[in-house]
Amino acid sequence: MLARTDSRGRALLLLIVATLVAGGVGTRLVWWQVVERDHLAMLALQQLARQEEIPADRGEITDADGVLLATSVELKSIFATPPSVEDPESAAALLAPLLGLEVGDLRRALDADDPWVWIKRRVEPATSDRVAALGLRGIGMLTETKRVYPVTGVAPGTTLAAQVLGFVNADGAGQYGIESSWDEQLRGLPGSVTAQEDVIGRQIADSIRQLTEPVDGSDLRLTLDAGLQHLLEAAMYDTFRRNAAKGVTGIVMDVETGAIRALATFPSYDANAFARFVPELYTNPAVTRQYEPGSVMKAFTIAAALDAGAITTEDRFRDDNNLRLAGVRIQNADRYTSPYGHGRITAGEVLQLSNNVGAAKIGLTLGRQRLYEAFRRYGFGSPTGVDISGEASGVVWNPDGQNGSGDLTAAQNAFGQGLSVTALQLAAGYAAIGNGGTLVTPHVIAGWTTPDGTYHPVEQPPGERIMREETANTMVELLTSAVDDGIAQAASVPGYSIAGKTGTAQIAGPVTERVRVGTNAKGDPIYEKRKVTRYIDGWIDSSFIGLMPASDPKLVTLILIHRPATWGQYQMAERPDALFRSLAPRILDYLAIPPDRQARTAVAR
Amino acid sequence: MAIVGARPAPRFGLLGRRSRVRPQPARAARRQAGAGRRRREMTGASGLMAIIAAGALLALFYLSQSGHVAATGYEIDDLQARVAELRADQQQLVYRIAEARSPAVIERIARAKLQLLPLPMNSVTFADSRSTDNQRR
Repeated sequence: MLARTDSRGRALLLLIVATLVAGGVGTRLVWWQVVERDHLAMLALQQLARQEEIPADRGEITDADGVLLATSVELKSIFATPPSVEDPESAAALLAPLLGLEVGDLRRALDADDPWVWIKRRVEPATSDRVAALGLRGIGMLTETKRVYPVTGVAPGTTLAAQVLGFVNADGAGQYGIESSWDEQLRGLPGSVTAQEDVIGRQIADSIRQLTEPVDGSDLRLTLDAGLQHLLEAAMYDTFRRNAAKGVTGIVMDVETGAIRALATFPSYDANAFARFVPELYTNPAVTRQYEPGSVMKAFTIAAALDAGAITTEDRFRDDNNLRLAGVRIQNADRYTSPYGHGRITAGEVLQLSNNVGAAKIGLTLGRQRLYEAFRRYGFGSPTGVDISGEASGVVWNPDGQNGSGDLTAAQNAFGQGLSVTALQLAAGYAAIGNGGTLVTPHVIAGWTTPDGTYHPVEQPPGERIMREETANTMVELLTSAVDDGIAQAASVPGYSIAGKTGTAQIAGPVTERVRVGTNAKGDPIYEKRKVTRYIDGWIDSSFIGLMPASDPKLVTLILIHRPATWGQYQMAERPDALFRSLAPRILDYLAIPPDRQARTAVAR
Repeated sequence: MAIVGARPAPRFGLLGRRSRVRPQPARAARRQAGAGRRRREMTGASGLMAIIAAGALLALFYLSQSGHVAATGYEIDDLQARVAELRADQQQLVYRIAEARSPAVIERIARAKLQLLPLPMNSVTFADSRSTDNQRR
């Protein structure tokens, strides 16, 4: 039996130990619960809470009348977690026909060691419903947004105005066309939510800590008219096939505002399945392709000379089909039928005959520097500022500059050679002639509507006067006579006055030539085969630009056929002026622009 | 510490000798004082119990509300999923409508199903507004 004093000592000892332990635990508790509280709370939140992005809806694109050209839909993307798939072989056999995949490829994907794989992304709702109905273990679905272009194009497997609109890639970024140039406004600002989630990933309602609402993108309204676009595409695709051409471009533009009502290019692509097409098709040749325009430039040469007072419409220029400058002989396109030229001809006749020598002489009469400055003023050599991405500036050489050849450069430029332009620059230049001398900015965006419903019309920069009104009016008259009495008669439209000009220019390309590189010891010449760039027979750009109706121009229409199949003296299946003759009445009827010449007698049936 | 309501413990001296009993009149007064103290202590204990009970009720109420909010949250979650589903369906319908309104589709149906043809060239006649004005006069 222990003594009483022993018991007290032990009790005291026990008390001290217990106090120390309790004190230690208490101190630790204070440490975690008070001192480290915030840090631990943050760690706990990091484990439970998750931040999720709330995507903003991308804005829609409509035509001038509200026809939907581009929108976004939510589709299911199918994924697999291979370790959870119970029977990869039967799962592959069931899924493959539904998803249009090879059974073998799918089985390999499901057999793989990867913890997670995409099976097929953005499938049609009917397909995803069928996959869900299978109830396969290890197969899941996530919702993803897809940009779609609902309006079918004229050519099989294309969408309407694909090269104007561009497309949106898998990451949601706008590529090419308007989707690229207006990407910032269209995509909006994504929001975010930070909240705690339960074990199956559902947000716990009363745990939401931070919510930032997304700001949806703005809807764009274009100046394009889907109906007119369809008409133009139908005509351009028809001539593309008939001419077996490498490419075609058609533009219909309002001369007063620069609003592009239709812009068609072929070959084109399906923006809903852009990955199936070569990237070369993504660009819009109307703004990216630079080419030598040929005779359509003669109108600007004459306008510049008239505007500067260097010539009058009565002045005559001697055309003997033989102008030599710096060792180069300039001749007319009709040199085989008129080998000695056409004698003394006026500026109007230069346009009617599409006379190279006459145009060159007018250009030289004006002066090479003044001609160069006038061309720059008319917008050549600079981007037009159109709201489509990838616009080229074209090239106009200063005749007295490093790449210029003095008068030869000016003379060649005067009839549209030795310089390059884009189709849209030409359309804008002719629009200036049609509207009384003001260079307007071509555009396809009419305005945008912000998510709050406010419509903001795009304010275009004020047009720049590039020639006197009197000069522009005179040019319209001269161009009208070029269609009525000149070589562009094929473009005349019954009941309407048309002012226009044809243009044909050879295209340079790579050719292999034997080039003399020196002489041997005996003095015999040594030749080598080299690739050089030369104009190639049969390779042409053939175009027509018309203002209609000429009495009060409202529209400028450009038709360009790039490298059609040709024979003989640049014969082709359908010339652009002939195409214009069939297309123009449809455009005029569609827009209800009444005839300005003798009323037609035909009665609607 | 004395136990509430118990009789005072017998007091022992250092050698274990019982202490002397005090006179009777003082005991009655002490008993009265003890009863008062006991009543006060009883009242304090009841108050404490009431507070504990109220706290427990509040805690239960909070838990039930919290559970209700969480359950409603799941309901909202389900409804939001349904809204998203319907929204996706609506997007599909808008897409299908726009597709059906494509000029190319309309033309194809008009030609193939309805046997329609485009009007021949120059088939539209515009009324002369001047002659119409003259007729009005």
